[in-house]
Amino acid sequence: MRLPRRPNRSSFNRIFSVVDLDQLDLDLFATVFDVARIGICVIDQEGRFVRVNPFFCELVRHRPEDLLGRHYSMSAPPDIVAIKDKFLAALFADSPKVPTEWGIRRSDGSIFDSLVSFRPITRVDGRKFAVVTFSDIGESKRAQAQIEALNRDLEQRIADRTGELTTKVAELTAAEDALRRSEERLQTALAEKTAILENSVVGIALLRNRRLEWCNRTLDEQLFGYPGGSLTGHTTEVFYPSREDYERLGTEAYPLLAQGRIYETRVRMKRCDGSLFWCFISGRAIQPADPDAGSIWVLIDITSRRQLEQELRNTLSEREAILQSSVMGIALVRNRQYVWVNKYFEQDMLGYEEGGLVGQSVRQSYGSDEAFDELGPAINRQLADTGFFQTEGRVRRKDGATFWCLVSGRAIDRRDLTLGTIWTVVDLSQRKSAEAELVQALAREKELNEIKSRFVSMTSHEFRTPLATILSSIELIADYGDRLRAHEKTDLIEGIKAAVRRMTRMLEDILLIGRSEAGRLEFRPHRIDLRSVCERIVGEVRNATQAQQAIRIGFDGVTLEHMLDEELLRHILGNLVTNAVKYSPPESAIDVSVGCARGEIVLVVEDHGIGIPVEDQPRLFETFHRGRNVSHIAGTGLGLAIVRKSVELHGGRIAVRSVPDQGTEFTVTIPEIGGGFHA
Amino acid sequence: MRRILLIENDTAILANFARLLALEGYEVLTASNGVDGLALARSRTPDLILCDLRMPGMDGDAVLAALRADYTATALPFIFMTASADHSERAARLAQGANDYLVKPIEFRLLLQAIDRQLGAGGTHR
Repeated sequence: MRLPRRPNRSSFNRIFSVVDLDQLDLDLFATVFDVARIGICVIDQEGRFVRVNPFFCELVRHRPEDLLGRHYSMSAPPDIVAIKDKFLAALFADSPKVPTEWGIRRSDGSIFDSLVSFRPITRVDGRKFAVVTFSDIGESKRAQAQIEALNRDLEQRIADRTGELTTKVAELTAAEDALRRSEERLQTALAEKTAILENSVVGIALLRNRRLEWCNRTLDEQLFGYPGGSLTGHTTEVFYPSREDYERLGTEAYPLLAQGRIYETRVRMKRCDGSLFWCFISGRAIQPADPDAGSIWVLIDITSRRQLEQELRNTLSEREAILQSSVMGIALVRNRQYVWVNKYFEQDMLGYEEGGLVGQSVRQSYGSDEAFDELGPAINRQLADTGFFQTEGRVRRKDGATFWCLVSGRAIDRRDLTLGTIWTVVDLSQRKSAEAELVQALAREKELNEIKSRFVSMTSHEFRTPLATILSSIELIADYGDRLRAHEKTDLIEGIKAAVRRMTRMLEDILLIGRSEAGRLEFRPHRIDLRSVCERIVGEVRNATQAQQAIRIGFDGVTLEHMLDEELLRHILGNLVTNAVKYSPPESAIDVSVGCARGEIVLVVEDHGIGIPVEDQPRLFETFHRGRNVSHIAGTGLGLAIVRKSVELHGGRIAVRSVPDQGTEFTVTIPEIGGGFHA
Repeated sequence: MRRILLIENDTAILANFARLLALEGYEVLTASNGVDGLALARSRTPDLILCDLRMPGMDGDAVLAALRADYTATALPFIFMTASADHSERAARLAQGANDYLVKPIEFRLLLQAIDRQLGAGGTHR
């Protein structure tokens, strides 16, 4: 802008004469007035422009000549114009005015924002004027507004951003939490999986290019006996008994893995210590397209399982053997049909061929169709009730024959009879006869006991009688000896001796029979004079028994020497003759004949006594046996038993003929030389 | 003098006890079997009977039963003297009406005591 001309000092003086300024200062003021970028105007008390500076004119876009002398209202804001008088009054009040913002009107009607400040001054002559300064704050206002807008905008943006960020942070926090939680879950899952893998009873391995990437402890430590983890990175060849085995498995397995299939086999593997064991191995590729890149293998030690399998097979075959070798029929029946039968039942008991019963109805095994129909409901009721059914009934064989059996059934589950029933069948016909045998054996034993107790009481009786004789004889001699005649005493003494002899003989008989039954009797043949021995024996008997019968003895073909056991002969002949004496009346006769012919000695002893009842004859030679007709006659029942034993020892035989109340005849035949044997 | 009937199957025992009783002052009747003994008991009415148990034909039990049909135990004392050693039979025999039951071998003094118990020491009872 062109510099305004130098203001007139006088005009300036006319305005500002309050202060008497120096000329330099006046010029300075003038310059400032003209050049300042502040609009300055002076208004008189009527509100007319008195002075205006160039900038003010620039601001309001008026020429100075358009302003001077005109009323301020052309530029003032409308509301100030409205309160004209009040404004002027206020304007010229002495109090300083605070700068205010006004919208000033330009010449073209547009408004600009201005900071207006007022200062009333008083001229020397008393006239008051107001100095009004204007600064266009439009721009600064705009700028301010802009700044404010920008501020607001910025704040908004900040708020938005903050909002965004808060949300974002919240999201991130949430995401972080979620991440942490899922990491925890992952850790847990990982720990679980690791635990599973490590505690697995099977060995698990991850291979890459047939090298061990990872395996669980079960595999390296337990199965193979290596220190845990020591084989990582090694080729799996170490597990195989030989390189050939390693390569063979590779050749078999990997093509299958490449097809996406599982490879399984049972193979022998080698432990760390070199021992071999059977192993079940199963492998699969992680990616079938590239099995070498990764494959998972499972290994199980089946050594014990194989052992178990073997044991199971053994047990099963044992069981089978037991079932099949049973001595009773066993059948599994379902819905009244044979499902399984053991061999004994099918073939032995019922006479079918192998496989002839399975699948058939059990009807054909019943004794009758009526029985089949009748028993059915009863069996089912009982089985459902107790689970058990038993009956004796007729069973039919294939050929139609029937026989009595004990049939027992046990339901597999009594709550569900359709599962079937196990039947056992026992042939009663055999058992019945076994029972009969048992009854017989018991009866025999009872009889034996009776015989023995009879023997005991009889023996007791047999000893008491001679003892009574001895005692009474001695007492007579001792207490009444002085009153007895001599011959009486002699007789008494003889009686004592006889009694003693009788008891002694009995003891010997008992001991003899005991020895012979214990197998300790011996056969000792010597050359003997048969005739004199027999005569001696007969004499002894006559003496011992005080026999009153006439005993006649005859010989035929007897030589001086025969090979015989004299003691056994004494037992035989002595007992037979003694019996003849005991069991025949005193007035009868007893005949003894001794014959020898064709290497055999034949002894016959015949009496005419009470005879032997027919019923007793079969058991005549049994120990302790006594005929029913001799209970009054002293005897132990041992005599004939001894005779028979002695005859047997001599290799001979004995026969008897007897008619009750008429007489008895015994015939003994013994071979002469050799013959006999040790008892 | 008191009369004793002795029924005994064994000859030696019969002889010895008959001798003893005679030496002790009793009148002795003897029989070697039950039938003879019973007949003697009925015909000669002894004061006491000593009887064996096991005898052929009629045994001691039968003799007792027959006598007890006619004579009470007080009227005719009856003592068994047997080699059957079954002491448990004693009670049964007593229940049947026997006055006593002795088991052989028996010492004389015991026998005499048994007789005295039935007849009273000395004197007749009838």
